[in-house]
Amino acid sequence: MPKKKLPPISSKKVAPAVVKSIDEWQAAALRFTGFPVPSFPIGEVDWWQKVTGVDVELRTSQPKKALFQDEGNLEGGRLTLKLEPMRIDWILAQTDAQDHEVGSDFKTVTLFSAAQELFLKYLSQWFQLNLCPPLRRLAFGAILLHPVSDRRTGYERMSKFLPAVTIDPQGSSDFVYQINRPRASTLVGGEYRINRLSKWLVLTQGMRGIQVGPDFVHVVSEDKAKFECRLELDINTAADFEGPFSGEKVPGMFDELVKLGREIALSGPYGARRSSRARQ
Amino acid sequence: MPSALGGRIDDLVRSCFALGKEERFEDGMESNFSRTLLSLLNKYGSNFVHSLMPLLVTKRVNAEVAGEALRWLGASKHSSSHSSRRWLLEHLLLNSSSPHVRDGAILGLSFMHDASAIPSLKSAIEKEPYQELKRDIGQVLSQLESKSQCPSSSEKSVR
Amino acid sequence: MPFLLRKIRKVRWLVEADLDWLKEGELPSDPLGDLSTKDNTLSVWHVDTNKSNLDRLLAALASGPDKLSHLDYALFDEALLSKIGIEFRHSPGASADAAANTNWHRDLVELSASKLVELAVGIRAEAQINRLSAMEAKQLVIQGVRSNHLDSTKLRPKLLSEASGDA
Repeated sequence: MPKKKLPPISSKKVAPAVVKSIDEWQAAALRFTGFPVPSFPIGEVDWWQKVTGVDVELRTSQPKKALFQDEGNLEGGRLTLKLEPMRIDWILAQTDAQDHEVGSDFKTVTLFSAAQELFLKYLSQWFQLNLCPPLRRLAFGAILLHPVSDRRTGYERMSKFLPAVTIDPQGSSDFVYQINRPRASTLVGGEYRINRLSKWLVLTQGMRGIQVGPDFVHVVSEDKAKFECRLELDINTAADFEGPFSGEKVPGMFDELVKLGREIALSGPYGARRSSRARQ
Repeated sequence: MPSALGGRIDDLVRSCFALGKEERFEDGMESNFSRTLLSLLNKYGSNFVHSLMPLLVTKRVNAEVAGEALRWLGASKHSSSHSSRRWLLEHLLLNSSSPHVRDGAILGLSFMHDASAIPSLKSAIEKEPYQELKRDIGQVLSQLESKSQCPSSSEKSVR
Repeated sequence: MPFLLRKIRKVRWLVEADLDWLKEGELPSDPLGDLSTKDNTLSVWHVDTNKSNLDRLLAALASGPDKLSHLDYALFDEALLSKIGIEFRHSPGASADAAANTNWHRDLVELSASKLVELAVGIRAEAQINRLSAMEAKQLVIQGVRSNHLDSTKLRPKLLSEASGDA
């Protein structure tokens, strides 16, 4: 069956950003996921050490499950390489002890730009050393956070990103919004689609100290609840186009996925289709 | 996949293969093993295939039973697991040291009628040490090249 | 000389290079799984010298299982039997092709274990071992049904349905 050509992107206009800077988001985690072609042999690799130039801090091998994981702390982030059948993940996430400049108590790596720069630095090394195998799919994932004072403020902020949705910020809770807005790639002649999944919610975090006895439970301490806007991104090449993408093509493709993720973080999933309601 | 579900499926996979070890297989004939395998595939889909992978990739099951499993995995019409089943068959065709497993993978791919497997089949025919299996790979290649069919799958999230 | 046909699983007959415990010239035991006897008797099919009835017999064998599948078979010279000292006799077959059952089915009889092993060694050394793909098998079955060689009432439902898809 001949492949249907995807329409080109109809407008190059990018909507005015909801936030002034991408660094209004903190990056709790950034992820590269590659789905290797079937010829890729499964087993331990020495990529982590080669990419970072330092020894692996923790190696976890589960040969019976064909699972291999190398990880270690680096320059303020924890870099993990996970290998399993059909999947390669590079993840940059929080470290155990981290000072945050934004004054948040949440555990995050750092501001988005700095996290992205650090992450791409290591990924670029992996690409340049020709260690990235041919892939049939790839993905960029991110967990981004923005602390807010309370749930209402969180919902008000989220409304600006989601003009298509009416949220009652005062009378709502447990709101979760997930959407995919696929788009044709600008690379490879628009032959494949990119899924742009985003999930939006406001999280509440709180700590309670409790005393438990044989016939009682007492709350002895309670921290003030903390709130954060949370955006989970999963930007991936669609499953119905399986490349393969050579190791040389992957960096450019990944850049495109990251760029699309940033657009959503700046302007919401609807981008150019923001309605006037958002301005009210 | 949540670890509790994954653990449960792992147990079911192990039981299924233990069953297979006791049976005598004939081409085209269903068996308790094939019925159990397909029933698990229909129930758990790609999660079942992902649970199978380490078992087959790390050679922890009897090679003849593994080969039988691959034939039936290829013959299944379970649509949402099509892509992961095909990946598994191609991977084992290219990487397994057992002729039983490679033969099962060849047959499985022949039943899938998916031209996306052509590149893997072309690579496999170059490296296959047994002439008999080379011929079989060639047979499947001819079949797929003359009749291109590409079922599509729809998996949006890669979390 | 005519031939004899036996359905097998081809991969069992590949001698594995990495079986370092196997002495030179020896056959591993897996092939014996394809020569399973009943009452010390093994079922085979007679193929004419010019192989004119081969396709018809393959259709009969392909129409036996639960579902349409590929068919691996071994075709060996009938002379192998006299080399080993194996007797055979005509006996009715049980396929969906009545004429084939009457005319072409044979039983190899009075088979000792050692004769069976010799037969396996002979097949491995001399037989043509081939595979009919599932598509080829399907075409033969469809042809067999259309030409009334195969009695469709004797075919299993799933197989008949698969064959009828193109019939």
